Amino acid sequence: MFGLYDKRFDVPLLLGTSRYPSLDVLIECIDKWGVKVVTTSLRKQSALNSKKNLFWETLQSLNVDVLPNTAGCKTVKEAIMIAQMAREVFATDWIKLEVIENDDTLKPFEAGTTEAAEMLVKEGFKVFPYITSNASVCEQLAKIGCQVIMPWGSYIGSGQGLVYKKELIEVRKALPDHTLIVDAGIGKPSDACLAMELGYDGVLINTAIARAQDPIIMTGAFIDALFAGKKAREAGVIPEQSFATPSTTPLGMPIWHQE
Amino acid sequence: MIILVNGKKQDVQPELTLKAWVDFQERSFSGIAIAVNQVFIPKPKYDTCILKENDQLDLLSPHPGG
Repeated sequence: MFGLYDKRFDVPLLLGTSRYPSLDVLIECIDKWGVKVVTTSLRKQSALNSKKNLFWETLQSLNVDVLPNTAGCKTVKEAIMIAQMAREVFATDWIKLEVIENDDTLKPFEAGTTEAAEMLVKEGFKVFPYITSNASVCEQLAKIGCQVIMPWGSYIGSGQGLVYKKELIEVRKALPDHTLIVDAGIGKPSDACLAMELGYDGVLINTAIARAQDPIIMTGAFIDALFAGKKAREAGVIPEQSFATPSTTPLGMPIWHQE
Repeated sequence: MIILVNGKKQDVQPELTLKAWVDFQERSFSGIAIAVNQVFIPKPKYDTCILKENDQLDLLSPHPGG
């Protein structure tokens, strides 16, 4: 079990809802594997006269918690406004705070994210900041009142995996009691497994599942990997070393070949 | 007067409140949040928000996201 503010969950996967082949495929990914938290966004309606929002109606019919994001925001003001609008639409205090530096890297804007997080916490939001794997910035967000921190593994949608592995280890050491979710960059189930082996509480995945050849099977593969990593962490992974140690004892070794 | 609704021009009566504009639309606004000139207007404040010429209304609704 891991906590996202006052709620507890078994499945350590937060699932993005974008870029799937169809809404039916997304629903199957959620339903078949017991996913309980999904991310969403707010966008302008393309068809003003449209009376139905099939995506939202479908999500409401599922047994999931919705984590709205502020994707695309580049300023504190934009992010605050989208968060406030999301709270009204989705009826939740949860907000996945994204304030990015630019559209090329989608790198979190550290100062902007911190400033926006502080303002949103004061307004009663439960903030899930998407941030770099800079341990001191993550600590600052924790001091502000973010109980969940979501450092990146690498660029959003890149599938590069945990490029910032060493930094992610430092974040875990700095915040042993906070919920940490790796957000962005995960490409393969083995990346998710590694995140859990490092002591992370879960991962947020969108593109790696949505753009897989079979998103439904891939969701299952990720969940298997997440639980494998969690179990390995609990079992105690051996420390890495830079020299060889024989697993078979040299004692009693016949010495013919040394003649 | 002219206002912009998600970037499209709309001709409306002057001194219209946001509530009156919403009521005039033949649709539910459940699941939609509105910003006027990039300032979020919560639903309880629709009746005190008076629209002006060239105001920009942004109607946002749930969309897939990561």
